[in-house]
Amino acid sequence: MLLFKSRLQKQWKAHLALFRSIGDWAFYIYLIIPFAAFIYYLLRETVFQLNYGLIESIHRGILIFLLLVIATFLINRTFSEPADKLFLLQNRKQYAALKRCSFYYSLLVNFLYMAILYSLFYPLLKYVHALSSIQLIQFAISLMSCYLVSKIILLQSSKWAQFCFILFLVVLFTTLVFYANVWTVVFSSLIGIVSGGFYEKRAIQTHRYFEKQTENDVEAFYRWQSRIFFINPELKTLKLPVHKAKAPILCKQSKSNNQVTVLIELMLKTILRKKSYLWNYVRIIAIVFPLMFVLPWWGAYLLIIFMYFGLNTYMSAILDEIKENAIFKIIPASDQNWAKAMKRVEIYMINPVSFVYLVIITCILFF
Amino acid sequence: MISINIQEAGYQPKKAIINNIEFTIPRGQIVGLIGGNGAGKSTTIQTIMGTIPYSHHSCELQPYGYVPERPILYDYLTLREHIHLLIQTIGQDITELEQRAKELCKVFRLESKLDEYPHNFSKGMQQKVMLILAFTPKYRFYILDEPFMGLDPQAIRRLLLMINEFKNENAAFLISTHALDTAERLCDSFVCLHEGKMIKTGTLKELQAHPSQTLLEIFDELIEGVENAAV
Repeated sequence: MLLFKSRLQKQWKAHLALFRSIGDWAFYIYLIIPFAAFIYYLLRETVFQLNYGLIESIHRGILIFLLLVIATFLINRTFSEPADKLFLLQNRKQYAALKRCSFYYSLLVNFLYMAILYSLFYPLLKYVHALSSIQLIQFAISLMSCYLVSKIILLQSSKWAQFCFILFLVVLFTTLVFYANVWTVVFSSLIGIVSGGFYEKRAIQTHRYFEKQTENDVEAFYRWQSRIFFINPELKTLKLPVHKAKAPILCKQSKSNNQVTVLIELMLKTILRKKSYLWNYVRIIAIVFPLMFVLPWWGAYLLIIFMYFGLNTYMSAILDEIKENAIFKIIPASDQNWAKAMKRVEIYMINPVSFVYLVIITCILFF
Repeated sequence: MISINIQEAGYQPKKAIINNIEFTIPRGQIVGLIGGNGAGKSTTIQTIMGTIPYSHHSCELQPYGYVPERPILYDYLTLREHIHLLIQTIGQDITELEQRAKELCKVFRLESKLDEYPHNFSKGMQQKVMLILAFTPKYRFYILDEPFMGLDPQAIRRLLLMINEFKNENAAFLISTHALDTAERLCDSFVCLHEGKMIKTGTLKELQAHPSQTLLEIFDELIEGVENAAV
């Protein structure tokens, strides 16, 4: 328990240090007040008024399937560290106690997340999709069971097998929601309880998944750092090691013919080839797209403005990082050309997306 | 001629690592910078290049070629793209540069690796990439920091030939190395560093106590002399 407490404190201290390094209290107050107001008005105009916009047109089966998929993404922490292999693994009982406390902690936190998710969609499922009380109970238990079983699947199998098992699991529990009765509720609850017990026996009492659990936990520990890293370059030291990539298949030819265009080419190729850069960019755009259809028109416009500035900050951070690469000690380029190239890359990567989104939302509003 | 005069330099203000280093590199000459680990060779090179945070020095440099101590590569560019980036940035005749880069890739046997990431190459191959990038453009001055490290014997031989070829075209070289036997055959003069200070400078003849004395023996003697004087 003491060890768990100290590791949990370490985690929160790291989070606090991270947030302090980004901005002071005044900055967060300026950020939180408009954000809280936005959330309040959003909830007032959607959930509280039973107005879910385009989400209402999504088939309830698909909706439940998607919500159950979200439940499988929740993480079980172990608070184990790579050095535990040297000092803690030998003391089996103490290490098991650490993992047990971490499991209860994860259970509590994830239960809270699932409760929020459930509360947000409860009115939609009950009043719009007319799910019965037993179906709603079945859905709540399915969320919990899906989360617990998926954690065992993640420990047991290869990536493809994990994908197939989780898909099967989510489809099964989605089906159970529609054929809900007392027996399916009992069956799902039993699966949840057995999974919890199995997790205790295999993932807590034995240490055979040490490497996998530690790898997942280190990733979870640095999750915030790696997300915020792009807007705070001081956190470079916390960056995970670069993975070696195979030779590129696409865009092998170089078309540039002067210093500015060669720098543009370099930046675009880097964004294309460095997965974290590309996926974070795609993620921002992909998250905004469905939200545009769900939000009221003023919310959608606000969201596009936020996306524009968010993408701007993100691109500036990426491009500054590219510019600071040590290679430019031996291949120098003038600051003026860097500024020109960076400006053009920002325009290519931000303006077309923002413009298309603005056109879409304006078309929806007027037609 | 390049004149170098370093009063002091280091990584933090007022915490100098090297002091009072003064020497010249005449055109068409190769100067060897020799010294043990931590003697201040790389710091001297960084000071000359102006990339050290704290320094009091005077040194006027025209554009120069540079081979770093550890290969500096861009993770997301192939070898061909590294060369293309260099050619487009350097501001010399593009056709000539392309021709030279092609020849150098052939000399160092990297033609078949042009579409691969140098980041995945072996250490020796990465060093060859650094040599290709440094020697593709023509300069009047080259700084080579441990250029022989990780190279196979054939590559060392080709590099030596290339340095001599450039030397004959009147280029000056500053070479930092631990390979004293190679340096003895290659360099025209030497700058000996120890604990951040220049302990001796001159040609091999000027440094020798007798004609058969090797550079390694001279260096050992110099270090011993300095340490005994300190005691």
